[in-house]
Amino acid sequence: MNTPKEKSWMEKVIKQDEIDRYLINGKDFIDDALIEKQLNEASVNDTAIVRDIIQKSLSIELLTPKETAVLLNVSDPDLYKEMKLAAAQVKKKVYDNRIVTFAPLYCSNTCVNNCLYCGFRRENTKEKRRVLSMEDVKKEAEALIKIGHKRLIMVYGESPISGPDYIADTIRAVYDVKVVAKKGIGQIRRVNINAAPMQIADLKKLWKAGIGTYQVFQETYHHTTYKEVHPSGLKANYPWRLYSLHRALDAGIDDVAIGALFGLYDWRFEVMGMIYHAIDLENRFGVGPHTVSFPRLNLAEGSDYAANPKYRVSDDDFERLVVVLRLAIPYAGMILTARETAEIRRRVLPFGITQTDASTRIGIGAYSEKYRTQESERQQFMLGDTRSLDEVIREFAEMGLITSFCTAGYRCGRTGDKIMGLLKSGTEGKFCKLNAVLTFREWLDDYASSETRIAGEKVIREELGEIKKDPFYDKGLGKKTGEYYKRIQDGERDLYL
Amino acid sequence: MVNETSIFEQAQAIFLSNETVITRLNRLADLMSVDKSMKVSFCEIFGKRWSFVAGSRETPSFDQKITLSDHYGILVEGDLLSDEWIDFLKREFKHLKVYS
Repeated sequence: MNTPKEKSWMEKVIKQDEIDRYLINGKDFIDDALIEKQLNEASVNDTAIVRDIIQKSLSIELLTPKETAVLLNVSDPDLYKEMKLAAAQVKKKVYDNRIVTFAPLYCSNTCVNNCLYCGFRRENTKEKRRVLSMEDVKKEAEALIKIGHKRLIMVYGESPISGPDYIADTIRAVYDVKVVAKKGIGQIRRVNINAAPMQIADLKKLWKAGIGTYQVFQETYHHTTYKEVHPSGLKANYPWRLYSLHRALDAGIDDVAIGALFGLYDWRFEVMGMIYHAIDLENRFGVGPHTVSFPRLNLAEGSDYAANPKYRVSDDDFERLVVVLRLAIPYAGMILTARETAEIRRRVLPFGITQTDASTRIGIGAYSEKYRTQESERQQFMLGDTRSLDEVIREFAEMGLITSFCTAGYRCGRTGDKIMGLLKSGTEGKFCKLNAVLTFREWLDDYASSETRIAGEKVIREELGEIKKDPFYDKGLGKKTGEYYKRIQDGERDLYL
Repeated sequence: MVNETSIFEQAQAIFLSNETVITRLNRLADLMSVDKSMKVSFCEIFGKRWSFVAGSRETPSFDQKITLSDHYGILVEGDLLSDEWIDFLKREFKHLKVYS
């Protein structure tokens, strides 16, 4: 049961007119029956059709739901192999060889909702509730800066004490933190937010505080399942959540991120839901999702539902959904998190992943207070990979990938529909490469262990070699990168293109 | 060669027009690019974030990044912006309504 204070707050959050304005003939853009039909009727293993669709992906065009359904139905191993190869090519074309790292920072676990799968749910009495003060938030940020993180996703329960004003204050608090590094000053340069749906007026507060990307996962796009797993609280309102990113775009936040929690319903349906979501955003705003996320349901304190999901996604299907999402929304960043084990991360990374977290702790206050790696009663769910940032980066380097700490795009106007155009044309990927080299140089000099530094230097040499050979960089960009690289070696920080 | 005095008069007229902020800034970006190897983008500033508002969509890079007011900034690629232009823009942007 919610307290009277919570109830009174909850009554004011949802503005019906900020749902209704997006509905068409009173309906949202997810038609469950149509999706089921598309999945059932899509051709199976038709080589010519699948190859045509792959070509469309390689041209960096958003696939239609029907085309996505065809890819979801592929079972022929050779055709699937072609899809995997294409997914890797799409990633390389749009984002080059880099992988961006970030850390989650959980600020609060008080919540008015009762999501059956979540450790934060209101009725879970085992959860130790806490809302970080601004001083606590700064301490957490400081601990993350000390290991070299530059980008955060900050996460909040939905509650009157961690509402929009609190969230905006935490963004500003994090940006204020500066920590002396070996050379120069370390800082968080991009704060992304995962928070509950809000009104447009409240979203503007986050916008003005300098939010990076605003991320809201629908969890499940299937209406009936949504209702079952969100029995009470504000989150029980499906369309309020579905249109949260529409409102964000109307509030001016031009980088938004979609996601589903895989395991609540049929994974193929959820992929289709994400495609419809991307299409609706593109049609209305000319801006698709900046990133897509596809977490799988993990164990959570006090949740039987999470322990025994009816629609558990196998590792093979998880790989498949990554491949299909990469092909279906080819321009979007794809986030794979430490929910997954190191083994699974290694397996699916090559098929299009662009961002991942490392040194991850998801307990409230877990970075600065250094309590045991995982404590279920302080976490939303249990993690699969708790390796350090240094270890993860070393592994990436050994795989030939360059870790990027780039946060340039949103600080120089490469946002919203502009970045969408640059991603689709492959231009942004060229900049990703340059900024990856510059930011990785910084990180290696400031934070790397000796083993990681050795592996990292090899990758940097290879990347610099490729930059030299690529005619795209002839017109001054290569020279400018060379100059910036030298200045960074000499101790300057935060130079970007 | 476009006469510098006349170009500032044209720019002034754009600022004084009744068009939307985006239309005015797009026209201004076009005007500034005429006869110069320069492309410009106007951005709204929120903390660290510079969000694209108007101007060149194809230009990912910049050679100059100048804050014009509490709310707006300009990114310039190619020829650098003259001091006259910078002073003019800073003066005009002080009065420009916030877009979002």
